[in-house]
Amino acid sequence: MHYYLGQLYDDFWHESKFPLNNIWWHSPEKGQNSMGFLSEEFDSCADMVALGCSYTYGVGVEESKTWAQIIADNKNLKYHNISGSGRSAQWAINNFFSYVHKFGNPEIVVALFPEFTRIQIASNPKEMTTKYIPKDVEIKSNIIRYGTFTNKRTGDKYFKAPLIAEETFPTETSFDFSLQYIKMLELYCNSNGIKLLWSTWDKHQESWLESNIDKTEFKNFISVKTWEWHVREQDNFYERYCQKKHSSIEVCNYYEKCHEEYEILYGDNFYRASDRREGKPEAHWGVHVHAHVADTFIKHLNEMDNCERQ
Amino acid sequence: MKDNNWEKDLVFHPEYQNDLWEESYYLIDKILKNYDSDSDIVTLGCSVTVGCGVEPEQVWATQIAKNLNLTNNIIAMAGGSVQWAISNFFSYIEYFKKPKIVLALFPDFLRMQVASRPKFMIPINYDDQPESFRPESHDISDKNKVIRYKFFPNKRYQLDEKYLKLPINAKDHFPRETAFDISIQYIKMLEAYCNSNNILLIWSTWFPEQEQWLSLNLHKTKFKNYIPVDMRYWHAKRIDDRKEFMCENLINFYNDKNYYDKLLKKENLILFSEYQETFCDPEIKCNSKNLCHLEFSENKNFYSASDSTEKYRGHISYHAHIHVAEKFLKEMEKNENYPWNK
Repeated sequence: MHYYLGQLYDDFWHESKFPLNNIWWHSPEKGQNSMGFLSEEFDSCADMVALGCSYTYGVGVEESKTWAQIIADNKNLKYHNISGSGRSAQWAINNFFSYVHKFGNPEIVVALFPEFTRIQIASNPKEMTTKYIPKDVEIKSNIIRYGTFTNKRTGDKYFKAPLIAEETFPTETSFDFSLQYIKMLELYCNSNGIKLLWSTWDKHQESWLESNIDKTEFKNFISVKTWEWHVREQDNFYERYCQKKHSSIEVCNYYEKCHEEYEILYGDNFYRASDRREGKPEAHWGVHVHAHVADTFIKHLNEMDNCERQ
Repeated sequence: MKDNNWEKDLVFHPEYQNDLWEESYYLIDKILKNYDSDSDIVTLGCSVTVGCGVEPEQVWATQIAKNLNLTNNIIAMAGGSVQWAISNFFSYIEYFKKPKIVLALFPDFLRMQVASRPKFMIPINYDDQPESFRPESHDISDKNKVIRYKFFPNKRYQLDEKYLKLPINAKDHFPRETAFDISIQYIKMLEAYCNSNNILLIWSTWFPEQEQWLSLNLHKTKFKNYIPVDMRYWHAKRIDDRKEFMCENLINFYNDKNYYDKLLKKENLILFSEYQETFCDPEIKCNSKNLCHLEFSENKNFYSASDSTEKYRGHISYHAHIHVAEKFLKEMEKNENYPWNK
């Protein structure tokens, strides 16, 4: 049998370069630049780079009124968006390192990571694949690369070849990689004078990080307090900034009147994401939550500016 | 058949995160215990850099430090992966002063260090191994406790296995393509960090085919700090009493423009075989030996590492370590701060 590792390396290298953004069964979406990011063309280094997943990409909000765009507008910064729907911390950070390799260091990096159990993996589709490939797509490549959610195991005890990554890739490994990539991002930014702030939209993760930050020794984490928001059917699925406990049937009227300028502009999308459907428990944020997340980042960025001046 | 507690078990709750964090292989405590103070050089690698098969003073990195009169901290582990070495380097620099120089001799990009719970994934198929073989890190007595372990993914999964049952074994079923991707991503991050922090980084690999591939495709990879150390030119044959020689036949073979064509015409070709004797007749003693450094030839391990056996080639010899050190030193000489003497 012929076994020449160099041939495998050729295959491995294929598509592993920047950007790691081409989900090969997806068509380019409106507004994407030539590298597949929902951003203006990357021609030179921006003042600020935003990293993240679908929340940063702008799923659910109109006109890309995302938290990162609001920061860029507020601080009048040229901004590039390195994010993708369903993507992981590892994917975003890896693409960030490719970005700085090509364009140099930005002044500011802001990141909103998903749960740490996501991972971008590569595999031979005859051996491991993903359940998210549409059935009508014919796989011709020897290697496919895809984002995987490893916290959604089905509980099956038996598996059939080819293995499904969502069922068989270890959650704990994804978690470890996410932490290591964030650690490397922190070290890189902090040693290069790049202002880095990062958080996560995952409520459990954010809450755990906030109470264990000493243990993790992360230096650039901030909490955006997503647990202070709730969405309930009796509130018309509107997102409410609320720290009060309600009965299960009570309508929540507790919310501070704020960001009215966006309310006028975005109407219903201010209160709930456009992908929110009645009865669908999972959806993205409306513009209002994005505005609050942006406020938190802006507050911390201003504090960093003040520290510098002093 | 389903385990009904499985999903509940994996919900992303604080206790689970504590469990994951507890053993997280930042390994900060362990890393700190290994080093007394800052050093001029930090060296990254695997068993070759640990010095398996040679004396501590014979290790390539130690030779370099001695030659330049610089201090050196080594972050290396037998069986360690690119990812293991680099993630530990990033932990190291959180606690120690940045070194002036980082040198790395990486193994194949396919090794991995992963975490899993034994109820779901275990390092290898224990049915094939004696109990005594099991390393400490393979304690699977608590099926729910996260374990972290290194392994070498098999070259291909066992496709003849149509059905698998839990626990899956990592060696056979972890995708090699992912291991490769992760390795190159870590090296890219290491390069970015060192180059932007004025740290001289030089890295290579002892794995012959990887070295050959990198030498031919460096423009494609865009790596900035790689040098070849020519480990692909060495072989050891039984007929030469397993002595390692840099062989002109191998040099000619790898440097031939028609390398790929020649390679593909070979029958039953297995490169990086135990004795890598594909390009010299295994029955004939190698007479194209690049005999050099004979002043050290009386030293222990000069021709072959102490772990070389009839069945196992072993690690690289003292002689090969000398050549590796020379390659790195030659590259270091190009730096404006050379020789960094205090």
